Amino acid sequence: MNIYNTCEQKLKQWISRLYQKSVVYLSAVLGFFLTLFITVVHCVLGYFFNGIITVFDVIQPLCYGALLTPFIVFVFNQVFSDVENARTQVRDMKKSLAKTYVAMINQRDRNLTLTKDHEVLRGQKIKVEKQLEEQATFFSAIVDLTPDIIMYRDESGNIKGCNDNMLKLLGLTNAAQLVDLLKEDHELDDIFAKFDDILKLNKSDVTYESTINEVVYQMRKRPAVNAEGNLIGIMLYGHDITKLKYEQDLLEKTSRDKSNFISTLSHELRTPLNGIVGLSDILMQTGHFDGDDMRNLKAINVSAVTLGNIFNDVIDLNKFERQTFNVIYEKVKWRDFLDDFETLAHLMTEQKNLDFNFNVEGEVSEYLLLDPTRLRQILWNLTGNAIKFTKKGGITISVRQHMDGDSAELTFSITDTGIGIAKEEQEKIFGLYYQVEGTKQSTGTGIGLHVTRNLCQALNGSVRVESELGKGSTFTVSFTFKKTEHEIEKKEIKSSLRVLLVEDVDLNILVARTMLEKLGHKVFVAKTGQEAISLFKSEKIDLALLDMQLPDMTGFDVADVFVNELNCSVPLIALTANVINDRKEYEKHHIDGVMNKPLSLTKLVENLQKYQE
Amino acid sequence: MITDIVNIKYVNEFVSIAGKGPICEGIDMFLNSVEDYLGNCLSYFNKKGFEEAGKELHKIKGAASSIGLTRVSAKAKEIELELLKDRDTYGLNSRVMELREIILADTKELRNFVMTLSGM
Repeated sequence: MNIYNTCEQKLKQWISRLYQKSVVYLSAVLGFFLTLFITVVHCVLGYFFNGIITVFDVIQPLCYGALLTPFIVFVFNQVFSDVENARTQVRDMKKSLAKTYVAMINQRDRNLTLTKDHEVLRGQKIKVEKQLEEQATFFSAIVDLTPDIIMYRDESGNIKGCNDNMLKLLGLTNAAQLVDLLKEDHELDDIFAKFDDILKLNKSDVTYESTINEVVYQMRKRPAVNAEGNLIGIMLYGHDITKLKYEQDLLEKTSRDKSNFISTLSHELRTPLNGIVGLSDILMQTGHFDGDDMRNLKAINVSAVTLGNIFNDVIDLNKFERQTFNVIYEKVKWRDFLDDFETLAHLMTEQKNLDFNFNVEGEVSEYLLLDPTRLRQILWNLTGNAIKFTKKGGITISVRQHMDGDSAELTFSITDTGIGIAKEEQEKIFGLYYQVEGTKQSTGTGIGLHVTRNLCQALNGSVRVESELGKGSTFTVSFTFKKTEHEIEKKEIKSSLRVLLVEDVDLNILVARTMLEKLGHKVFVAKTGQEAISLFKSEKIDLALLDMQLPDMTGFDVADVFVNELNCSVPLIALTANVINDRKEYEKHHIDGVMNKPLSLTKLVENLQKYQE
Repeated sequence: MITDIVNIKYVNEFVSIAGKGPICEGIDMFLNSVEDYLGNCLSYFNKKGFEEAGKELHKIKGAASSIGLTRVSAKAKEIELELLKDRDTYGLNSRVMELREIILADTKELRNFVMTLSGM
């Protein structure tokens, strides 16, 4: 095949060269024959007209032929050359066209392939678009079906859409109306835009509660962030919690009512109990009883005290639940406190014929600043438990005390020889309503130790237990209280006081003045704060009763002027018709006591006697 | 029931120490001043001075309890709290009328009760 092609090519080359040469030869031959033809014609014509052929008739045409032949050769050669060029160009063009045609065919094939691919892709795109459309429809249906509200906005806060329930809630028909509404209703706009700044800053969810048209929503916002981490919008989802809120409020109210009821009941029961405790104390001290009578009397006393402690626990538990628990620090003569505690603990152990030891180590200041009621409650709870769980043996109470600067560090250890507490139970016993299973003695309320621990924490103290099952337990509580000095200055006892009554209501003045005068005191009345200040300057006053709501000033303002500007050192007693919630507020203004209006004669006498001394 | 209207213990205690005179004087004084308090209260209310109107009711509450009128005191407190809560949406006029009627009825009852007590 290759040999054939080579031969063909060589043949073509040879023909081409021959052709090139033949043009010259052919032109020369043509020139020769043309010259010959002219010569012959010239000779014939000479002979015809002259009847003779001369040398000139031959030479002359030959000369013409010789002169014309190169020109003819050149012209022919040029013509043939142009023809050849044209032919070559045509051939090249044909080749080029063929190539172009082939390229076009290839391109067409490629286009066909691409078209097919495009068709496939288009089909896929339509399918995906359809799926997306379906998904959007599903999501839209879900979004519209939810009873909650949904809204989404772009990063600038422009509303991009919302669900049907949002429109229904606001009485609108489309999102455009919502945009218009929010331009006018700034309050509503603020609800939706709340915490946007925080959300944009942190790019994290925010949650808050808001009420729209009496429906309470828990709003949850989430930033929409693209792949580059840029905020592209904000989604808002509001969950309707109206019912939940209502039920929660109802539940809280019910719980509060229950706690209040129990607390009130305990309060009410504690009052007669105090009577029992007090009267049994008096009877025990008369010396009229001995033997069984005395034992019974002690039993009454101890039972009433124990019951009182349970009520105290219940009341405090309620206060802890309502977070209204307050520690009330007051000056306490420490030795008396310890003596009372020892006496009662001794009485309690006597009831069960247990040995009793009470040891005190170290010394502290005579007077300490503490909450005696709460400290007593802690110690009684622990001692009561120790006695309850001890059948035989005894109870030992050790008090270790020492001064550290102005602070008294106190540690009480209450040790029993009772049933003990298993290791795994030792932390659980401080839980609310927790009782150790299987103990016959576990007949308590299950709140005592829970309240005890809370009380210890409230007094900045601690409680811990060490115990061995079957051998006994030791509960240790530790506190630090500040020492305080006893005011030993002796005040002149006065039978008649000069009382400044600061009150603006005439009737209240009449009542208070009548009472005070009947009790033998001299009364100076001021109906305004300014009058009170003038009277305080001009008269020698022993005690001032201050109404809290005066026309020109509050009772606190008057007290501040008395103390800070007039160097008042006389007792100030506030008169208020409101519930006394926080005595600290009064103490801040150097007011020594507070009395509720209307003035109770008994309370008034009590207060006056206190300051007469 | 008189116990719903009057603080019996308080009135007894007061009369026992001061006699009937001061409390009767107190009732008269209360009746005289309460008209001013109620008038001021409505006037302040109409000028949207809700705090001041509340203070007038507070005075009525205090004064009533000073002479043992527990129901009047409680009613005045109730109106004061409602007023401070609802402010300009509160219908004070009708409540003041109601309070005035209670005051008149209860002071009469109190005066009768005081007369039944022994003492000067």
